[in-house]
Amino acid sequence: MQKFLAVLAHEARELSKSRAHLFAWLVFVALLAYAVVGGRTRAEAQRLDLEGLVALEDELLATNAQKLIDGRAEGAAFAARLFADPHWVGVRHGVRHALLPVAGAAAFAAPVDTLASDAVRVTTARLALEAGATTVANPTLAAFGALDLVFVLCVWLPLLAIVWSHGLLAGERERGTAPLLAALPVGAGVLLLGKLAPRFALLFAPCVVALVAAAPDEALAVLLASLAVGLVLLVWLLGAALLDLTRLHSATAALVLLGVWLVAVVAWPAAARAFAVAAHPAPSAATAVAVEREAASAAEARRAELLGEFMSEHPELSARAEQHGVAEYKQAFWATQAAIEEQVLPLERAREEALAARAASEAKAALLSPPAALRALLVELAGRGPRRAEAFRAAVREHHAAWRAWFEPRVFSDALLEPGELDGAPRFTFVEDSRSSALAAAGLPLLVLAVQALVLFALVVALRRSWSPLQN
Amino acid sequence: VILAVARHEFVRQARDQRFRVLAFVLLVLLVAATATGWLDASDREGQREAASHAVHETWLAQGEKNAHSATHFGTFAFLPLSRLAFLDPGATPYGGVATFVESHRRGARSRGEGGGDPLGSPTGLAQVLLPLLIVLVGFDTLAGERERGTLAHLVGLGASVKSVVIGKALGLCAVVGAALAPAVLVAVVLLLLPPGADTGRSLVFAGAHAVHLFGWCLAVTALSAFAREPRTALACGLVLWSATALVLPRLASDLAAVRVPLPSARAHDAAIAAELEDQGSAHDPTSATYAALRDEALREHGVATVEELPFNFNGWVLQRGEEREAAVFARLDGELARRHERQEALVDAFAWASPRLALARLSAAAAGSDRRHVAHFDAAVEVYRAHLVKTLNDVLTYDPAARDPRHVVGRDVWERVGRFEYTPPSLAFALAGVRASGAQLLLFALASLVLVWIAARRLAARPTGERR
Repeated sequence: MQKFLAVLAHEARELSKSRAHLFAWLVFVALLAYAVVGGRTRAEAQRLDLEGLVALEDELLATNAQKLIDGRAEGAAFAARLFADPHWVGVRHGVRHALLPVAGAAAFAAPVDTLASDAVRVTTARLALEAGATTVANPTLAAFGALDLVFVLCVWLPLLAIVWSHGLLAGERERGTAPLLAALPVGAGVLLLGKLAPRFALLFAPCVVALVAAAPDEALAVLLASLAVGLVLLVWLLGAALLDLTRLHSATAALVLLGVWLVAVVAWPAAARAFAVAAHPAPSAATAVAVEREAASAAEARRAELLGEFMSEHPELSARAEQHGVAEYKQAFWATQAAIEEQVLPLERAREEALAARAASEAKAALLSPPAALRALLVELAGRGPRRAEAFRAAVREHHAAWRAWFEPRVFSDALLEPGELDGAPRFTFVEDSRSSALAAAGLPLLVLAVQALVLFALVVALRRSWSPLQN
Repeated sequence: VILAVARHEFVRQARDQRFRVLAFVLLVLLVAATATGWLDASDREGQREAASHAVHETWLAQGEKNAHSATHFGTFAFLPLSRLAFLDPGATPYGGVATFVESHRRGARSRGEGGGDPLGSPTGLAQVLLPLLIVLVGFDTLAGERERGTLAHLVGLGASVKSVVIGKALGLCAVVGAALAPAVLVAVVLLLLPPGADTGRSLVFAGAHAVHLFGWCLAVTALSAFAREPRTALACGLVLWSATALVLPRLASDLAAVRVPLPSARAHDAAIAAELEDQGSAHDPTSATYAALRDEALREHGVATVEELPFNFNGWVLQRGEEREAAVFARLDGELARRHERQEALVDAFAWASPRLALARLSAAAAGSDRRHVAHFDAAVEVYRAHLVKTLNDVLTYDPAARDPRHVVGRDVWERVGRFEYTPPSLAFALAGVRASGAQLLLFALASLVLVWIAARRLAARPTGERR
């Protein structure tokens, strides 16, 4: 232990004297700081945008609540009555967006998908999850990506770790100082670890500070992300140490490590994506549009026929509609929506299932590449991953069903809504157990990363005696 | 001598195990990205073509209805993929693929296909990883000779240092070029498949990438000549690469977004809605706008009632309202487009320091997939929208039978509207947007050339590299 500490102290002194190391470290810290500030700014803007939508909707609904009262008045005009008509309230005048709140650790990652929708308008009409999502983002900028924590920690940090940790012992050999070291009563293993420890500390500490600064209120997310960053860093440093124990020249070791970086950061995720796309073909968005269009048009053309079918299949609605004299267009609306859904659902399901299968396949593949695993974890903790998106879609579907169920009897009884009655309609809130979802997202990646680090450590320990201070 | 040195460098690199492994990995990546990109793009293009056809069939088969109802029934326009989009998807993964064409609303493209991984496309690999390959294989091309003392030998044998340096640079270019040849071949074959290559665009695309690679080969040779030892050359090369190819593009993108902020999609829609509300509806006979338009029509034709007008006022007022709405869309969407342009101008300013940025802009423009090309498509859709709405509103305005509100029209009118046909812009259009990027890329190559020349002169003065 004493020897280890002595090596560590010496190494720390040497590092503090090296201008190149200091410069690289300062650049790294500056990038982290920039990524934190940028991430927090983006998350805040997104939060404000959602709040703006809520405020706008609240205002509109308050106006419409007043119009509902006016519409119920004796002798109100047809147009005014629509504000109290359950059909029009459910499809337009009482409608809110289902919102996906900005996650507490959103500053970890910039938005991945420019078209990902965080607000879905839920009405009694067919639920079209994708249809409303458009973007004003500049694609030229999007194509370069953002300088966020994901980039700094998954792409840049490994590069710095490689540059700092390759050929630590080989360098001694090349400078001719290795035989002197071998004469000391310190083993190669202790020497290596003593050299790696301060480097680990120098790289890891600012990462933890950055993660805390990015999400000060999210202790669990910060803890899990820090653990993952620490393990990924360990994997790189131990990998470099392992190469050092072979007889490679330091420059060759750097090349090998950069080759591994190339595979782990770029090649493997790209291959995993290509495989996922090929293995799970999905109907394209264009096909989905054409099918929806055709279904809607066909339903419109068969309107009368569909109405008959729908009413014979729903005798309770039919009886009520007849009793209350519900206008035919309202009945036809429910009938055609059901027919369109029936046509569109198989394709929508196929598309969603294929996309989910792709995401799952990519997530599995990511486990084999430490930076890819870290990236997937950070994106998920930032609330921008496929897992949370899927949970949101499921919740929106459930809410849509509840919204319809609440309106259906009211539409078919054709009574005007009472003032305040709409307050009893289902309100969407995205309930998430961020604790358990974070743990679920992090469990397996952390385990795999820990195993990788342990295996590398065991190999370093096992091979520590194979190091020779002399050139081949 | 230059050729002999170049040949020697070529053979030395080609035999180097490290070069072989790295080049093989990159080649596999490039070929795989090109092939899967092509398969994916042709599949999606096929589906878009089919969808476009199906949607038009639905339009034709919509049955008889009121002409203005048909403008609400609307149709869809699909963003086509350019021939080179599989090499550089550019802006296309970051927006939707389908625009709903209807009256009273300029639809934004929705329905994305995703798949935007900047490093996953062939051009992404060429922009970011090929320079890395060049740094990794080229850093010791001269620094190594100097360290081993073999440079002095070469000079002793009568070779001038300048010719050695130039030969080394050419050798590096040749070996990198040879390593990439299979990927280029695959891309060329795929480009030549029916419906045939877009030669001009393909040549500009290839030329831009070639100049970029050439510049990097020269820059790395110069770096290797300047450095006292290979380790320094490698470190400097990596710093140069990570700064210009990794960090600067993202920094430029972020800073452009901060300096020229965009409204959110929701805020943009809300701004348009507010303007339209201020302007008032020509659809609503009780609105002031409707009354003003009626007075204008009556005054213009010197008549007292709308019935005396030589056309059906109900159709005319709809069309006038439509034109006023279109002006609002054009103004606010135009403002947004100008903000995009200003953001790109800022990115272009960074490209003086980052050849990757210049190449990315030039490459996407040549591939016909950059934002300007997508905006060109959007503008064409807007023209088609105006045509569709006007054709149908004109039926209401000028067909005397349309004075009856129950008047319906059918397939012949839907056919007269026609299908949305899109002609992609020419190469000249593409290049007009990226002149600066072209200059930047050429300047990079030229600067690298000058660096090699300076390095050669310096090395000629101290070929053994002994320290002062």
